[in-house]
Amino acid sequence: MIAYTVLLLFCIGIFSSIKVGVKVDKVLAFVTFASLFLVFANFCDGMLDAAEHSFSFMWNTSSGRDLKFEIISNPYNYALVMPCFLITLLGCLHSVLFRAEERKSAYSSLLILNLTALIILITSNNFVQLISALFIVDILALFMIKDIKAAQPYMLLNMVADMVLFSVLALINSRVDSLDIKEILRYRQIGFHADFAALAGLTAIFTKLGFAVFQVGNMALKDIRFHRMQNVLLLSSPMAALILLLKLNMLWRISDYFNIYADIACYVTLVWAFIGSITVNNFQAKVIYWQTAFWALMVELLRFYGFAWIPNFTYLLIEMYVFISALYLLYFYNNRCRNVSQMMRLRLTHKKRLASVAFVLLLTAAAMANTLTQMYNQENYRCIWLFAGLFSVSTATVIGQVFFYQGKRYSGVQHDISFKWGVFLELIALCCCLLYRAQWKNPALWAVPAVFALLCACPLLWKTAYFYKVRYWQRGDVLNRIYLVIIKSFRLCGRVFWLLIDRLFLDKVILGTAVGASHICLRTFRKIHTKPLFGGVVIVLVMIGLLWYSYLAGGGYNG
Amino acid sequence: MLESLIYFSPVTVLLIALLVLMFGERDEEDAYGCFRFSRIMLLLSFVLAVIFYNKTTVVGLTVGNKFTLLFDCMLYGAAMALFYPSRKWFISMNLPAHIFCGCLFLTVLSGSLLISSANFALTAGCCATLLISNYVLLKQNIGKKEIDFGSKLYLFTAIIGMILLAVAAVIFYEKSGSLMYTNLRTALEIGKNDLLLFAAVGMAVAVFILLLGLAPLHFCSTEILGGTTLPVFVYFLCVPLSAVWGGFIQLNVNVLEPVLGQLRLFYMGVALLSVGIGAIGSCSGQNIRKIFAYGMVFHLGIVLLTLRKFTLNAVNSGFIYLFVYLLTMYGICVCLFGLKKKGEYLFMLSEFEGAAQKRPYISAMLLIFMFSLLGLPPFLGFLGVFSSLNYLALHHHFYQLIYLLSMMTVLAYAYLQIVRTMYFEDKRASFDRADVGIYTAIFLSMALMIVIALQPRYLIFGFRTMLEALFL
Amino acid sequence: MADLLLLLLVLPLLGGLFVMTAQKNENNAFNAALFALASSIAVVLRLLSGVVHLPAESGAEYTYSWLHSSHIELGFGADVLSLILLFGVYLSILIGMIGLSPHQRRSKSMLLLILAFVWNITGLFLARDVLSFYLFFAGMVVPVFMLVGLFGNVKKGSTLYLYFALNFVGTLLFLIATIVIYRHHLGNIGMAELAAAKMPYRIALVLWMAMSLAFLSRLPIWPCHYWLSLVCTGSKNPVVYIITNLLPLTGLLGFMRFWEQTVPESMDAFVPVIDLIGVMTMLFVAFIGVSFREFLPKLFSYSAVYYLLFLLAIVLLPAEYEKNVAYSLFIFVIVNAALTVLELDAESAAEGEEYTSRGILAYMPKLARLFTFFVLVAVGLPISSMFWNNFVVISALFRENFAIGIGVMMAITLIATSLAYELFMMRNLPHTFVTENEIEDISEKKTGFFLVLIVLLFLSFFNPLWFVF
Repeated sequence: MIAYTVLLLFCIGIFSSIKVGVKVDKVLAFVTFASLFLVFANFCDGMLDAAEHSFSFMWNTSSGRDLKFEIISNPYNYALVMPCFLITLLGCLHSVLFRAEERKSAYSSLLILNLTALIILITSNNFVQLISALFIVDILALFMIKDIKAAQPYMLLNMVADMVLFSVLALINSRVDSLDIKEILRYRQIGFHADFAALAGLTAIFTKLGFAVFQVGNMALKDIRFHRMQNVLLLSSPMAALILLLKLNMLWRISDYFNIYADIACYVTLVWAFIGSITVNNFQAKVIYWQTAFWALMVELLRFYGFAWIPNFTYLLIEMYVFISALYLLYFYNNRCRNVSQMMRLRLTHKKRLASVAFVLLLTAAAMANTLTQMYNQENYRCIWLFAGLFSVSTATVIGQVFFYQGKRYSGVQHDISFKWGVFLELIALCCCLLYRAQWKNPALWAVPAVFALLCACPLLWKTAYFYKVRYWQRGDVLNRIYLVIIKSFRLCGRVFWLLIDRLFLDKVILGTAVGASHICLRTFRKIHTKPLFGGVVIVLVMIGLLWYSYLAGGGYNG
Repeated sequence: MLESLIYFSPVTVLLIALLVLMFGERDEEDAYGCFRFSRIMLLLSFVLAVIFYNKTTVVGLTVGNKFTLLFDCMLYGAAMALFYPSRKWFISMNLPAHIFCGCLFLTVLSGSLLISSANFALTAGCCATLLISNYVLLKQNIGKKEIDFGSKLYLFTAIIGMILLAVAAVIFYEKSGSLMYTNLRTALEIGKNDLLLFAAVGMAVAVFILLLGLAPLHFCSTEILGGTTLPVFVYFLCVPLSAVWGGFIQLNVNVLEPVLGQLRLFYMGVALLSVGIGAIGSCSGQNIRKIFAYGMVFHLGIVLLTLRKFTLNAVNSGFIYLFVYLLTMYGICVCLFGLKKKGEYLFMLSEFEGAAQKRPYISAMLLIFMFSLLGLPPFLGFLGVFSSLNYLALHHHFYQLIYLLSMMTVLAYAYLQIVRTMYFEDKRASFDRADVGIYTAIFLSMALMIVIALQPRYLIFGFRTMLEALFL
Repeated sequence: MADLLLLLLVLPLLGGLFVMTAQKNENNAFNAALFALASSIAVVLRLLSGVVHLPAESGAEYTYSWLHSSHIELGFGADVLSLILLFGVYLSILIGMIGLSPHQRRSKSMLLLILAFVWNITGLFLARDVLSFYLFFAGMVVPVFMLVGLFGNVKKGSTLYLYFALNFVGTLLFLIATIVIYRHHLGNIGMAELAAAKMPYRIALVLWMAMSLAFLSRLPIWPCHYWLSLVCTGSKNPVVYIITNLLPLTGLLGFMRFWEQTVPESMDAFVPVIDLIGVMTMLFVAFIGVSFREFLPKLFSYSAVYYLLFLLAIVLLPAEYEKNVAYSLFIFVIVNAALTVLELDAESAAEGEEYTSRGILAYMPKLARLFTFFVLVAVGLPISSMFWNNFVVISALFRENFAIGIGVMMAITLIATSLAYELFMMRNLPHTFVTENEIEDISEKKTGFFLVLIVLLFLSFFNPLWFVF
């Protein structure tokens, strides 16, 4: 049962978050990984025997509506949990293998708790649980990023997306009067602002995936530690968004504009990611662009497969993880250089290490080619071709630059970096596993790595390194600047409102008039009271006038 | 005859006291002795007045009932309450007090007669005496230019008032052949539309308005009260009011009832004018006494607005407001007695800066009394405001209600100025130590307010039975 | 139960007596006030445990025969809604008192005014008839005004006067309403009966208009928000800020109590106006919140937006949603108070440094963690029961009116983002902020207190009334 797994994961997560000394921490991190592995084994065991189970308890009740916390175990959920679990496991392993964290166990704990939240998201059956799990994933991302500056745009953008999703779900709930996800079907029949709900929700999902126009949040991750970035990109908000895309697919399909909107968003993202990955100097930024392109591909493929989760999607995710891990090795062996231009100057130093990375990359290319050819059909061929083409060119360009293109001599300190046998073997093993099911006669299996290698060696592509020197391109994504303008305009709006309505209209006009009127009153009053003769005349007149009027009104004259 | 003399004893005691104070052998510097004598005589007169409250000496000249008793009690109570802090003032200023005490006796004497008057001649006489008494008290502030001018203005107005009273009395006598209230009423019933008679009524009413300090005849009192001595200021704000209101209500219910329909709008106009001028006037100055003097105009305006139909309910509602006002205003006045710098009692608002830090209890009490006057719960003032406004709402006077409440907001500004000066201005000024007696007086008035606020049924229902006597 | 109600009403007064008579010692008066508040919390919890198990319609009742006349009897009662809100109010004032500096704790007058406010708000929540409600509704004007004036750091006198005038006019309007009711029914009337009372159209119109305006005057709705913001944001005293920020709750309570069953017929035409102004103000205030660079004005904007959300919920939605609003409000007032105290702590730590409080949290790790938690609760993340209840309420608002729902969500998103942005700014260490002085982090005692609060909030996510046994 998945519920059992969730409970175990939660316990391990809490256990490994205990603060211990540096030496004990290493042991604890290993124990955490081992325990996770055992739970994974248990999970796989459960997956083979995937019967429908449901675990639920009454969470809250309000306004005659019961809110249940549910963890539903079924083959579909198992299949969806699988890649998340596997990637988390690999993440924990890397945490053990690399000395990237001061507190390895705490980081592993974060990954495990994140996995728990993802599982709750996957197995949920109601809107509130769904959105709660989504929020929890986002909160955990804040800790995973650990860098306030980077977390700021990421969190803010995700929060806005979450709020939009919150609104959409609240809107659906208001119509169907039920929290059940299946009730979206009924909402389809009712159709109250359905286009708005679908497109707003989809926009929120695209925002979380970091699609073109909304990539600012993800792009901010380029300055955090590589492995953290890798895990956030694959396990955190974007993964949660992908799960939501699947779970709420009935909602998107309500709108007639869904297909065209998704098409435009995905293709634009692919092109944008291609341009970005070629022109930007920051290596992590390139990785983020590739990851974004990958999410665009996933969305398109999922759409063509009618949002059915087939094993190939799992393979694709793992292949992407392996690909980024290989890039991590490349980055690691290059003295953790942030910029590709700096990497180019290091290539002579660690030849063997770089060769090992190249080997892993070729294997990954083959595995990816194999999966994509298996998924290739008449409907999605354009998308696969475009992705394969752009992805191959951009990755080959960068790798070719790192491996072959000569830059200026590096003047910084070059550390003696040990060969990471553990990770290398792990990645090779994973590639082998992925290729194990491959049809060896499939030409793409051989052609894609060959083309990839050729492209890597193509000097024409290396010339794109020219962009690394252009300050305009390196200043950041143009949309970054647009976002800053938007934020500033919001602020300006607020300031203008405050000045115009509060200060000018309320304070100066309304209150000023009132104060002015009261001053006139007081002046008149004083004038009357300081001039007794004038005042006396006024008094007599007022008195007589009042009496006379009163007399007349009381019927005195006519009576 | 003997019986009549006995029934006349409260007035006799007051007269004796007055004569002793005026012509008796006296020590100019013995203010303490003067006050002790006055207190004893006033207490004696009060006891006798209570004992013989329903006895009349000359039939047709005065009446005695529970209504007169109630207003008598208020008058005597206010006078006695004034004696207490005034004694401290005169002793500390080392000034002779016989004229002050004498005027007070004159006011109580004429006031009690005015309350129980059943004859217009007596009413006119009492009003004239009150005007004289007021003038003499105002005249006491020797050396101050504006007071001198003010007292002259008051004298001028008082003389005009007396002339008006005399003219009114002549017209009444001409029209009814007698000045007894019953005869006058009959004459007014018959000559309802007689313009001359109505003019006489107007003259009489104008004098009452002058005595009450209502707008537009507030000039003579409010403007000069800012410069008077504290006992005189307190006297004007608390003592003659109950007597004049008593006499005014008596006159309206027993005599002017036939022409009330023609007077109603006049009363309303005067009341609304008073409310407006009181509120604006209190915001216009920096003199704290002037602020309260204008505040008085505002509050008395509300009383008149409530009373103007002179039905039992109106009188009851108006009385509740008046009673609460007097009690609260007395509290404020005692607080003013407790705040002085280097032996000098304070006039200007700026002199109160930092009072809350030096005299926290007196300042707190002053604050409570002021908020009470604004009608904010849980203070007693709420009861008065509620009673008056409820009466207005009962008769669908919603516009007046709204006007009144808006003016109350304006008045609040004036009171807030005082609060702000006392509390929010951080000035390290020094204040003289206040007498224990002042604290006792403040405590007593506060205790009375709390008791009434917790158990208001005596005020609301208990006094109603006494007021009913007027309508029997 | 009736005894407990009476005790609840008397406790602040007793506390005030003890404060007044306390010896001049650093903590005597403060401890007395704290004890009075803590015992009030204990009594509320005891009452809650009693009331929760009673049928929905019944509750604790206590009647004080004020005038010994059938016309005026002051009725007090307690139900889950009033008790939970009262608990929230007490807790937030307690948080404010904990946040007072040792110097501020010595002021007897402040403690007395706080207890006066507590007494009034207790009476207001327990009031069951129109007159009692009015008495306490108006009664709190003086303590709040004095607190703001004495300890609120309001620089302009005119602001203070306008603030008083606003509240005063509100009470006068409510007085008109009370008098109209008194006149029409020849006596006092229970609040629940009023909704069902039949009145001539014009009378009903006057009554409900006066009442609505009176309640709106307490809420940060345009144009009242301006003076509220001027008074609130200048304050450096946590209790003053919290109490002035609790005042809108009284307006909300008024709407809750008097529009209990349904919107009065006579006000049908005006409800859309309230809705429109409400939503516009929400958006407007949210935009203003974005434009500020300090946390406290943002927090004020945040609370204004949420108060207006609750107002719309009360005005638009049926009575069955009142509990959701109450649970949400309970968390909201606590979070608001906690954030105020923490922010003022951070600000006082940054005082003397050359720059603002931006970046200060980088030096205060314990405070930063607490602050982050409360901001996350405030922006509506699923850490407390506010999340689920807000979902229900917003969902119902969508059902009533799609445009209002969208407007509300836009304002909430804007202000939540703005709050979160400021949190990041406070945690992010700018290059310009360099301090050589060692900045003292929040004390252990305070941390413990806030941790207890965190537990309270977090467990409410699973059951809003988990503390009732």
